Amino acid sequence: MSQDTSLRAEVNRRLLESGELERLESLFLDLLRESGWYEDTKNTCTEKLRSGELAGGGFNRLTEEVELECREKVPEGVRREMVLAIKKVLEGMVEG
Amino acid sequence: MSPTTVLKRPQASSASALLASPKTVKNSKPLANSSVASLAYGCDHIKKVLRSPAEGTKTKTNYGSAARVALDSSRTHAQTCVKCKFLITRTFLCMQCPGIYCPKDAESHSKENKHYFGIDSRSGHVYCFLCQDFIYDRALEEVRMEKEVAMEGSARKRRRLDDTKLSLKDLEYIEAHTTLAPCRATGLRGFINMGSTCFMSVVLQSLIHNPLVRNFYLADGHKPKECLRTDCMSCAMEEVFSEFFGTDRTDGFGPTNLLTTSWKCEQTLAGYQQQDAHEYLQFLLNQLHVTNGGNSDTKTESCKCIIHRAFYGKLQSDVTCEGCQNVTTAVDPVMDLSLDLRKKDKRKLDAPKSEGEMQTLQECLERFTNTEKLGMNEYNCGNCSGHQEMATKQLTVKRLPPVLCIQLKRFEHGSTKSSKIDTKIRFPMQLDMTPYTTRAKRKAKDGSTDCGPKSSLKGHGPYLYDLLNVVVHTGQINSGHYISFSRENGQWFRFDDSMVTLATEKDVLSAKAYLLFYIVRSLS
Repeated sequence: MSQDTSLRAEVNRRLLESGELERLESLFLDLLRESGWYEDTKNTCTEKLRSGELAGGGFNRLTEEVELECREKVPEGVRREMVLAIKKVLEGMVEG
Repeated sequence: MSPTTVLKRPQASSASALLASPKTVKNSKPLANSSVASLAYGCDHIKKVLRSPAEGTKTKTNYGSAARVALDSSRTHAQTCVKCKFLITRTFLCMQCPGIYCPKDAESHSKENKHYFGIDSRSGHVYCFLCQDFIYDRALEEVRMEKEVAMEGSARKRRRLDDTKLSLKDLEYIEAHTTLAPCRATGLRGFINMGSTCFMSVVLQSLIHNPLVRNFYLADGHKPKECLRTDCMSCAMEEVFSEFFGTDRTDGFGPTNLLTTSWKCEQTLAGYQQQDAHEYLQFLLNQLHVTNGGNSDTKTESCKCIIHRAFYGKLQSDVTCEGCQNVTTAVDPVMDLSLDLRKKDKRKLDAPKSEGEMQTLQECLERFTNTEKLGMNEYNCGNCSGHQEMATKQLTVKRLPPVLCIQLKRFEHGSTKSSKIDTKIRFPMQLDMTPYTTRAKRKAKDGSTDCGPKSSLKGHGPYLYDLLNVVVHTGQINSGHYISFSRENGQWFRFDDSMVTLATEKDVLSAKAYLLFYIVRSLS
């Protein structure tokens, strides 16, 4: 258990220091935009805020309402590509 | 988990502003007292803190330092949560103590320690755990703006969050007191001539007003901050796009960076003498290809860089042995078409068209794709091994690029002298490339009647192109000047160094073109 945590921490640290984390996030954002998910989500949020359903609630309330739905809407292709990209980076870290 | 992944600081402001809709949310809450003063604070909770002079000053100072950390783009991208030790990008910096927390633990920290305000580590915005929302407090916003300017300089224009909502009265006032200033931040700027650099400016203008290239750069296709290359032409180009489309300036732009980078990348360009625009175009396209992830192996088709996506085409060459009818086919990649203006019959030395009729672009293309006889010793047939056999060769366009660049070969360089063919070649606003394609030519050979130049007035078809840019060379071969025409939003403009003026279709079509850029109808 403890080995797992420390391995995780090490991997994360490497991801950060090599700049790969930022690259992966950048890729992710690009993919989300390209697929229209970003714009779609933005519209969903704007709609929710305008509709008054949130009863004046703020950021947290909005997140509660839309998070699940928007997460599910992430296209399969984007998921696949991201998993592949992450896999590639991780494979590069392992010897043998 | 935030619905938006925030990477760029300026973007973050508008993203979270849109999501949390600060002003509308706050104003819709029933106010305890309807005094104007309560609107000046982000929320009632921060108001309580900022009102007290001692606590208020301390809070602002704390916020200032936290904002500096958040807005520092050179700091590490992710932090470790002091509680769960996870390394993540989205963390909150506590306003009242030096703790950094992941969202979940930030929530519990606020409850346990009664530290109710957290600062988003990516944007520097303030989150109130009691309101469960981002708050935009006037005083704190001022601190944040100040830090933003300090960190990244005043190079970019910043939009203040409290500018985003205007009252109806404000809008009416603005409309009544504004004079429209078109041509600002629309890419309509000229280049200052830095000493015979017009050959550069015309090529640059053609790319700036090319939707594919323009969209690539404006959508952050090349990120100078992430670019590790020294003397990068794309970084220099990116700067031009930022200037032309991101500022309100209309004065000429001095392309010093582009110039020096060009010199560093290509020695032969150094110095201030006039160069050939087509050569510069080839150089620039290659540079932009290389700096945008293009493979150095140009034989394979797999290069997905913007330059190849826009300009890459293929020419097929078929050599037929007259003796055995064996055909040798070769396919070559091309980034532009270079058309001869003289008839291929080398015996005729006179001007392109002897009858006084104007030559057209289509005729040049026709000549380019015609079957020509190869000379006596130019071909050896591998099939019938007849050395003296005659052979014919034909070039056809196998694959058309989205942007077709055509060079009219006006300059001839002989061993003793160079000359320029200055005759007017007629070119169309709309060009149908169908007749010059490999497929069409094959059909013609097979005897099909359906292969003549089609009327481009039909408005549809996969090989229909619209004129996009024209580069013109005026004057003598060594002492000439370049100008260009480009279309922006349906309106033609004439670019003459730093002077940009309106142009009519007539102006454009009557020019003695040297380089022509056509874009496929579907992208036009």
